[in-house]
Amino acid sequence: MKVKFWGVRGSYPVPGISTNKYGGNTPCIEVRLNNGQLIIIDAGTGIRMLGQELINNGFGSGKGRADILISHTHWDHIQGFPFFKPLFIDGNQFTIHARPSNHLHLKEIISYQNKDCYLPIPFNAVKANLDFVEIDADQKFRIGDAVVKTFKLNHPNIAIGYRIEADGKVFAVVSDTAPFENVLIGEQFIPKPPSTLTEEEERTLGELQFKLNSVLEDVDFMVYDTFFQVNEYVKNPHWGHSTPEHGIDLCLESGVPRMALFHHAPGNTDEILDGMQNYYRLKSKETHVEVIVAREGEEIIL
Amino acid sequence: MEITFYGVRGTVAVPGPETNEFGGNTPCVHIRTKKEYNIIIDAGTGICGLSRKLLATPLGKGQGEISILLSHTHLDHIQGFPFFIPVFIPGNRIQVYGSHPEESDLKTILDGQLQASFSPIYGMSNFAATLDIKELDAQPLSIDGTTVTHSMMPHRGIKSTAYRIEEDGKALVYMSDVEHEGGHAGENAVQFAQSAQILIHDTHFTAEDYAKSRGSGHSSIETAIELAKRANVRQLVMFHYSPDYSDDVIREIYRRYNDQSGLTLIPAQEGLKLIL
Repeated sequence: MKVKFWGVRGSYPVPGISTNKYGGNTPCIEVRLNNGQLIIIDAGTGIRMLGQELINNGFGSGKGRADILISHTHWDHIQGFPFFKPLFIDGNQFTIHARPSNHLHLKEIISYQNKDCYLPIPFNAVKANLDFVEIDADQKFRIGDAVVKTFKLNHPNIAIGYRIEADGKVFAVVSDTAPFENVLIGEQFIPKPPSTLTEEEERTLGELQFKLNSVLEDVDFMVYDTFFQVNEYVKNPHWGHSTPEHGIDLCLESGVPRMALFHHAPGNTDEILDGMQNYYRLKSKETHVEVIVAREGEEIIL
Repeated sequence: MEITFYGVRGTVAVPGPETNEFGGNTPCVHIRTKKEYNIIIDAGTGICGLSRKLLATPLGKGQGEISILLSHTHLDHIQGFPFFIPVFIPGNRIQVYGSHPEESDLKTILDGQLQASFSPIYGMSNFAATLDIKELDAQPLSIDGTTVTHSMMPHRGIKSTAYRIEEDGKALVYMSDVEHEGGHAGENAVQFAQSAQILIHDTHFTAEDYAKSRGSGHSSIETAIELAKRANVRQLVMFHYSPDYSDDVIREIYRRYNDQSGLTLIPAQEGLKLIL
């Protein structure tokens, strides 16, 4: 199994000289099985560049086929769809898996951005065959030669994490999520950090944490939301993002040997991310959890 | 007035080394009037960078006021708005102006990008600043010593709003996201841009690519040059570059047309400042 990063930035794309190394595109990860089967995770602006590469590999002649797993439908995870060229070629086949929200059908959510008032590209310009599969947490399903498990993440309006097992390896994407310290998965705006927990909230968080720890056992490589550094998280725990420390703790609890810092904050320049890479490389000598900083264009072979 | 470019790219933000010179952020132009009032045209991702700079002004303390003029509501022109930090600071007053969109009203469309499925903000009612969204009527706006008039331009199925901002008898015209009928500006567009000191115009395409992309709602560099000449405009700013154009391509377009156009051609570039 090969994992390739096409977009690693959170919130919004950040062009400019200070993101040349790690990349400024919003989330998109390519998972390629040994037999060539393609699974794409999230459709941030990074999917535009992936699309250009796919055009030269079967998708240009309408013979492409892929599954797209969406963690959640906040803009930065779906905004690349209209610019994914293989969608506009007859014959290509895509299955889009995501959890619908806000009482809307998944297709309505994905195509909402194609309304005349938002984009000059109507959704009926899509020529590929699209299947929309509405999923939820705690499911297990098969995509070709891969077995996928879904789990609930602690993010406003809920995000879904994915565990993908194929070729004798296990890969997991855990983004976007806060640690399970406060309940953030409600359907209302969270203007400030939640106050003390009720018993029910504690139970909910405990259950989510337990499920996450269980699903991550035997994972070989995890991609984790590390939007914040520790001092930033303290100020904004209600935003639904984590720190590298939270990710390392999770690896230690679940026995995950290797993780990538992912969903970098827009303000995290190459210089800052280089600093984090050095710091966490040293730290891994104590924790024995290998930490890399996800970088656009980087391939990880599992 | 002082004009600074924060986003010059069309359609979608394009990070990467190929866009370092001219910039990969979607449209946002900042205007500081003689009296140091802030006007922003369009709220693409460029507004995120501008936002951080404005925190050093009274907008950072919740004591500021700013006017945002929207050309239209395609996402590349509004996607930065939820990340414009002054909207989260109580006390600020944010005026947003735009034309009445055909399919709905301006507030509903701006709110649409913040609904629960797409954003953790859940709607503009959660902005802390005082937000005032005004749909334009035929009357010119008067914004702190400047006069702002507008005109509607065809943009693939919808209309975009062109703005003319005048201060002390000098005029800046912003005409982005437009495809003039047949690729040639109509008389109303020529009149609207007439004798402006600076015209910022959609130059999404080269002439060759435009020929292949008619109906996309955007203009070629040649259309823009022709309009500038007919309207007696001396300085034309190239704007809203195709996301497929690298710095090399943009530089080549500039070189090719700068001499032959007979006017001062200025390729918009993030950070570029023009004084009028």
